[in-house]
Amino acid sequence: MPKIKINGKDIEVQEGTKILEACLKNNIPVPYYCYHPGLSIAGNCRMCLVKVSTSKKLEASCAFPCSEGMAIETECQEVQAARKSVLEFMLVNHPIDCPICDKAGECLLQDYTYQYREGLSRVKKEDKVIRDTKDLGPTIKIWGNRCISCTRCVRFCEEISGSAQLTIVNRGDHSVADVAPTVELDDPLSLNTVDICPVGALISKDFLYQSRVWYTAATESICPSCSQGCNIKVTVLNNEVKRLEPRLNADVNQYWMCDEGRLNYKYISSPKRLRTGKGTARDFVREARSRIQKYGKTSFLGVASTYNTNEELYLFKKTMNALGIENISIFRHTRGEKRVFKNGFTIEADGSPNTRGAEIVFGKGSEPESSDFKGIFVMNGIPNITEIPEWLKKTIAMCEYVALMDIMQNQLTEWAHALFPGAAFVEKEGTFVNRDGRIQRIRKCLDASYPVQAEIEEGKSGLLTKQGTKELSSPKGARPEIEILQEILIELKVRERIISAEGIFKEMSSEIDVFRGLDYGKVETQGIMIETQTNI
Amino acid sequence: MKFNDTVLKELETITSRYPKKEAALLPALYLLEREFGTISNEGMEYVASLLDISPAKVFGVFTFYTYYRRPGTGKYLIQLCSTLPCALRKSEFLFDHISKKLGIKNGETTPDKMFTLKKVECLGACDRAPFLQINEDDFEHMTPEKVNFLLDELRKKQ
Amino acid sequence: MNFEPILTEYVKHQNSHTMDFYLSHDGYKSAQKAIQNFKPDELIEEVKKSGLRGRGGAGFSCGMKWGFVPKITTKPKYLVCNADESEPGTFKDRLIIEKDPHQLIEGIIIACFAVQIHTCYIYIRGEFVNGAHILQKAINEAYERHFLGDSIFGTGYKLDITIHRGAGAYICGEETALLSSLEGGRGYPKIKPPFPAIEGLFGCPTVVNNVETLANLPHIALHGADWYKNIGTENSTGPKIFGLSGHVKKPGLYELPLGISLRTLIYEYGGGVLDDKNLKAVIPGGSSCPVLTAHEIDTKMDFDSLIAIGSMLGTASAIVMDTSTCMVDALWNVLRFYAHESCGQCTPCREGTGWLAKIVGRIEKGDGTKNDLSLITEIANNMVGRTICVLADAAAMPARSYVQKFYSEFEEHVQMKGCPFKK
Repeated sequence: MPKIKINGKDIEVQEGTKILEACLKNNIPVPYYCYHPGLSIAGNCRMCLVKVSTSKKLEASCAFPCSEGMAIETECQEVQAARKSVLEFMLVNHPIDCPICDKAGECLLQDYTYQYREGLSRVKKEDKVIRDTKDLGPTIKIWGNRCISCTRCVRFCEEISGSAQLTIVNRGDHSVADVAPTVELDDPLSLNTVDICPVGALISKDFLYQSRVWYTAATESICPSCSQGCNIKVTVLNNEVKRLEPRLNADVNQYWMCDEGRLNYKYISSPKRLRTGKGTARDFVREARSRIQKYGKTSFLGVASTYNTNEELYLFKKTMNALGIENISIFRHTRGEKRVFKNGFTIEADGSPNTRGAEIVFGKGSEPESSDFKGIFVMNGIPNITEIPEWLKKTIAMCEYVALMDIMQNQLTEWAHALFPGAAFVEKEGTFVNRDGRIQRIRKCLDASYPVQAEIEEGKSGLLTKQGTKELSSPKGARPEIEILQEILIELKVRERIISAEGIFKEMSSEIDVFRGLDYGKVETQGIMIETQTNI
Repeated sequence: MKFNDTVLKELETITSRYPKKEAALLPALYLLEREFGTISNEGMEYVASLLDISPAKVFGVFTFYTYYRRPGTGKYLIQLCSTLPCALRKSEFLFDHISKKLGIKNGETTPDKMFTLKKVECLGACDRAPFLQINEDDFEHMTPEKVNFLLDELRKKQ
Repeated sequence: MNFEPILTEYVKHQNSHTMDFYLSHDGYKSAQKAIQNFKPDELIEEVKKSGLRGRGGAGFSCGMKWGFVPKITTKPKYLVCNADESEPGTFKDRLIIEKDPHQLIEGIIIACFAVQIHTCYIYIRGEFVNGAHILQKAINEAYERHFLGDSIFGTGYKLDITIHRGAGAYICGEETALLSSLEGGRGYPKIKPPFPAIEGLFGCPTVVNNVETLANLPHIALHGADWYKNIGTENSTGPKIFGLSGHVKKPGLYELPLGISLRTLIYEYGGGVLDDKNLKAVIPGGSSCPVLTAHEIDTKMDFDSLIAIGSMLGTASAIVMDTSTCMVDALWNVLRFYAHESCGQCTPCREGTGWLAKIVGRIEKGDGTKNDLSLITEIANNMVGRTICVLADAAAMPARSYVQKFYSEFEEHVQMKGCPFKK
């Protein structure tokens, strides 16, 4: 374990550690562009240059290994001068596009310029090299002038996704990231390159011109589009989701998420969202009880989905139990085949976030033996249903009474006698268990009951604040499912009041073995592995 | 666009001399140039498939190296050295002469597709300046008169 | 001085490139002797003792470089012959390749045996089309005679040589960029450490040697290190193929011992300045070297003497400029070269070379300002020592030297808003 000194401070490091890693681990800030902890080392931006006692020249700290007795300076005069010069060089050709560039507010070039740069530009505008602005593929557009040839995007496509669809073309100051003329960037993980582009060269077409990031707020959550459960952050502006981005979880998704999951948020503010309910909790209890009285307990079917949170599944079970209903089936959702990428990142075939949770609460059962039911209560929540399974179609057709808790208008809603509009994953608190058995939290970052900007009438324009929309229309009717279920349970005289998801989870943890001893605090931002048996 | 069996065998011999197939990319591009005259997008995709690398990788390499023939290059590619030692022996003057004679600017091709004129960097024959290459042939101590003669001879060959 | 050429002894003969000619002039005897009479480590020591320094421009001790290769390794080892001669003003390796390729092959055999290498790649610049043909023919001849192949000279030692043509990139003359290119990639220099001797081509221990360096080896092996050390100076031993180009009466290649004066080279061997004009400036060893004024040509042409006066030996290929030369235009030409050839990997070089070229171009065209003059030096200072390879230094250090030594000429361009030489 080599012992080194950084800015006079004694530090011990693992063998083979690079200087930059040692600095970052010890909270010593060193600026960098081309370095990324999830990718191989390039060492080309030269922003991370530091003074090293064993070298005459300044060395790139991202690439230079620590050795016993080495003394490193990160803030001396020489290093500061080098940083300033690298920033000046970067701005020789990089256009001052900030007023029209999406990356403003989350741009490393801006950040470091504020922090380290001195002096005015000494470059003549007509000296700037012009490079193309063009589509690289269906998801990404590049502003070539802004590219700094750091090769992060190239390395991502080579090392992580394996598509190798990006390269640097030309030489010298005509260098720019590009695709081959015959193969566009259609990599299923392509939008990660936008995350890691340190400047505004690679831009997501989906997010283009959508919002200035300093007006938005980002909340941690979990992507619900497959059972991997990538850790994400949700960017919200005016009670509308503007984009999803991955956040680091070394054990689940590292730094990445797939394009499909990333772009699967438009439904949240779609006009097809269920906003108006049909019937109350009291109505449901009355109808359900009357069917059960008339035809017996076995005439009623409960259907939950693998999209529901653990808390929702738990309360659904409680509801069925309180009504004496034993038939419960699980509605699953797949999305094509499992895909594994070069570094092991996976897009699961299981297109729902909580199959493991459903198994924990209900066991393995899925399809009912017959379709001979008189009443059905479906708790769905899957936003992109493509196919309703045959058994469910048949059952619903036979039923006298159909109660549905769902979030989108779909093939099920037209059958519903009772309709309870539910909340999308960003509109509620809850937990999922991913394919590995890791329990992770989703967080509420917007209100289900607020109408979205798309519904605002013409003429009421202007910059809306988070509260701005409240005055314009009244709440509609979508709510977190656990509220609806607790209302039903209150009607059934099983509960006295509505409590939060956190409270429900606490209850769950005392009743379900694998959740014993857990609470939201323990799950926190990185999730926690639980013991899951698949044959409960 | 495909190599015939003989050329494929040639490529196999080449790749066998490297521990990794992709190391043969530069020689493979020369094969492509030799067989089809220039290096086209289709050709690059084909080479990529032969060497198990991505078309983007091939494209990145192709755009890095200036000696490969780009599509649209004329029958005779005139590459005139313009770096300092040749410049000191009036290569710029010679360039202007050729440019005027052919009626094209740097990088351009004559309308009849016969000649492309390109200024290039040091060709490593500085004692024989002004120096130029036409396709794969070297020409030394060039003067406007010599160039006139040469170009006329090449035209006559048609 | 009447120096008997060693490396270029036979180049004037018509068939000097053929196996028959080479064999009838003691060809391949040296390689055989080396393999028979030396253990590999002994050979390395002999070359170290000879003081042979790299002839590609860096001047690093050849024997010492060989010594860095690990003796015990499970990985294959490689020798790469750097025949990418692209330094402006330089044309000496072309002579060896085209006129005496067997000398090069014999040198390769000796180098490979010393470091126990069995695979050699010759990276030759794409533009040397004729040279590649001649070299390939010579290699074929060597295979026919079993001087290359599975059991060279019947010793059981395997050695293969493959020619790998470059395709128009000066940067591929830099050893790690060459390796990137050999691996089938863009010619990007690699970060050091690790050094090629430990982790080079395909991640394996690799020695990269220049053509002329390798051509010296048959002579060292045949006549010994002591003989070799007697030629040249104490720290710059051996013969050197000097080059002369530009405004000189007899441009060409001249093989002389290291240490002769630049004045002697230009006036005694080169015949003096073209048309008997006055000398203005000389670049001593290829465009990457800081320029010398006419008052500095009494310097000795060896590694240390030139460093002492703020320049370098480089490839020892001198570019001569007379008083009709506009130094601003000359610098612009040189900077355009580096801007065109910069690989573009790292920020200071990618942006700095282009920026410098544009500024000097403006000065030459008459649109320069006084600030531009100091700006050139500041930009150059910000490039030196901050990059992955030394191309940035090769552009920046000359730029500084032109501005410093010919400041009044740059000033005049600014003041008269044009080039005084274009009148």
